[in-house]
Amino acid sequence: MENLIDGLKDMLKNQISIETNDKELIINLNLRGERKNKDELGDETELRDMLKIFGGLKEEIQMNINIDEESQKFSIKFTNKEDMEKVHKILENLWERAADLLKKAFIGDFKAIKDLGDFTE
Amino acid sequence: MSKQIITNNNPFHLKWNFPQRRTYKGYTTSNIYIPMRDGVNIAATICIPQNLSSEDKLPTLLYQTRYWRAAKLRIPFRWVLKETSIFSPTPTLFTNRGYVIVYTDVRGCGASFGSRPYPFSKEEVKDGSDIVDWIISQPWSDGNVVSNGISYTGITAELLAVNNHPAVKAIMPGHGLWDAYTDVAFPGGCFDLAFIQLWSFVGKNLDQNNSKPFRELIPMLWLLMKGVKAIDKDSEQKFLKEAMKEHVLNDYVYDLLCDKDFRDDSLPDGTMIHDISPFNFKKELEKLNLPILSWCSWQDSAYIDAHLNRFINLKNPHIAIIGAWNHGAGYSADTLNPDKVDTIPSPTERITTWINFFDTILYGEGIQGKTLFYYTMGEDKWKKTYVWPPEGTKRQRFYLSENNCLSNEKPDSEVGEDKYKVSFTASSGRLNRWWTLLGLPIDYSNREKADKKLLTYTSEPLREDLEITGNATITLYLSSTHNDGAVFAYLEEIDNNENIHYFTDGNLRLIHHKISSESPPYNIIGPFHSYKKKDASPLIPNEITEVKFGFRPTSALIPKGHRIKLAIAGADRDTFKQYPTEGRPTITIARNASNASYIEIPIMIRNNN
Repeated sequence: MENLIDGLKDMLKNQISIETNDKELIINLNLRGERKNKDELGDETELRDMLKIFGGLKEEIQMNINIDEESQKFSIKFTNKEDMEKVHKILENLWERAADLLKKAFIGDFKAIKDLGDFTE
Repeated sequence: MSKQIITNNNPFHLKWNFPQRRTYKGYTTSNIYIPMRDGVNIAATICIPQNLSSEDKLPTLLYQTRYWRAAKLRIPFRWVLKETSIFSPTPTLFTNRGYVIVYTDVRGCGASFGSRPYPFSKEEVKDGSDIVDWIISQPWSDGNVVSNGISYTGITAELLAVNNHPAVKAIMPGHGLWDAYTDVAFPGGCFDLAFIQLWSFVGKNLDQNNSKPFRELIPMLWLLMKGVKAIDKDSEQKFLKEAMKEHVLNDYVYDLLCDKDFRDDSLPDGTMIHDISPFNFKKELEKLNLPILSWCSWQDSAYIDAHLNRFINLKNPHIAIIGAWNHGAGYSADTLNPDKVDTIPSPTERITTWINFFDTILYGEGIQGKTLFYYTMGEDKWKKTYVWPPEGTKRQRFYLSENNCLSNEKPDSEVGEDKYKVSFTASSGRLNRWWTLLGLPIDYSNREKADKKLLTYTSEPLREDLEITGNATITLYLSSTHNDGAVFAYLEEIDNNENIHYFTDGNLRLIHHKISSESPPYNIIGPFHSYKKKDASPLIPNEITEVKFGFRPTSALIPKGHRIKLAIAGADRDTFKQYPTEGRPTITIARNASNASYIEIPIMIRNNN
């Protein structure tokens, strides 16, 4: 598991690209690698949870999330540039932060997860 | 002459004898339901080496769990990892060596249908046979099935052999119980309230597809896992939701056992705790003479008793391994050398050994006889024996003496006793040998503080190195102000810097103190307490009673100059139920010529002595 965690950040970086469209106020997450069905891709709630728990997003941001199985793409549309930049910044660091959190959790660092909030189950 | 070989006995460096087979790269995964004899669908995840031709026939490793056979990971991890990749290590090692792996959720658990009255029920055990029937009917199967696992899955691996299915060729129970009463629920007759309660709580949540309890226990799993993996055809999770509804009928061990005390207490369907224990199936386990590789750790709960009892009692060809690590070998745990972090084999080293064992059984010459490899804590050495306890030991007594001393001399005075008012706040912590059943690391570095609440006795500095290998015992002549209670005895060493290092312990609920004259249900080492209702013997307040019980087996080297310390408690707050539930007893331990309390330690006679 430890080896897996060490390689996780690179796997995430290599297999997910982040594209921004400043004009349309859209961020696209493009997934590469093995094709995933709708369930494997995830839903809007999971994406919001990811931004919150792994990305540290604290506030409620208005986002319109579209998931396209065909193109294996998440499109997140914002209502203003400020919100988009906020989420873009979070996404840029999210893979590293998620891998780091996992590593801390692996060695039993309960403090690291103390204030993360909760997933929507 | 002793058969022991003192050096080069690391079981993870053994040379095995089997022909080389084709290797594979990568594997494909599928998730399906396998129907059982009664129509219950068991969820299975199947990992098959990639690029098999129709002529390729492979053996199968079966792994039956109650903790989700495969996980639906959270995003973003789900985007890059397979549902099986969080297993440590990943299935790749097995699939690359030409094994198909079948992971199943036992009935009533995960994505499987059905319900469970308690763990390891008859129906759950029979499912193993149905699953093997399904496996050997698959086009990729060569008709051979082996099974391994750690903890619950180690027990399902062992119980698979009970079916005597001819396709099952070898089993590998790791860190598993042998006697459900003494090894996990009631060690020494004391209810392991903390573990049983937490384990039931986790089980209840897992069976309802909720990973939240992991947040407080194993945070990594909470971060990684959203739930159990549904079968491939169930993208809407309709089957999964149906299965959850059936799980509502499950019963959980805490609810079943919290008001129980005795080995022969019945569960609602009339089953007794020992009916589900592997020892109860000794005949079935021996019938086909299946080879066994079992492994455990000195500091893993009472599973170390289980491990040695399995080794002693089964006639099967058997390789047994005892290391110094926590439950499941995730963390090192040589408590005499707590800074040493490399007592565990790497996952790759470990799994390679497991595959080599299976290859030797399936394609090589097999194994003969019984061999036990064990690690001596504090010495950092692997050793080998063919019998337990090893040949070449003698027993040495240390008497409880005045001024809290341990002495080799029996007291000659007719008076001498120590009074101890039980502290119900005494605790061995939450990183002890019991909590590790949840996969936690082991840490006994708090003994100095813990011992302040205990009655202790310490020896003079040792004149020679002392290797303690085997099962020590304690004999106390005690009286109590109450008719119920418990004794927890810890064996520790004090080094030259006054650091205290725990190395083993034993405990007994005092109503079980009677030494039974009946034959034990299986061969045991040390005093036999039946834990049955008819043998319950409440103490007569203030009357001296002989109380004798075993410490958990160990192998520990105490260097010259260090001292041995015995610490006695009447409770272990963070783990065990309190006895008695009301009142606070004062225990009086006699240490005089007529009633000489003592510990008896198995000493390995060493060449340098």
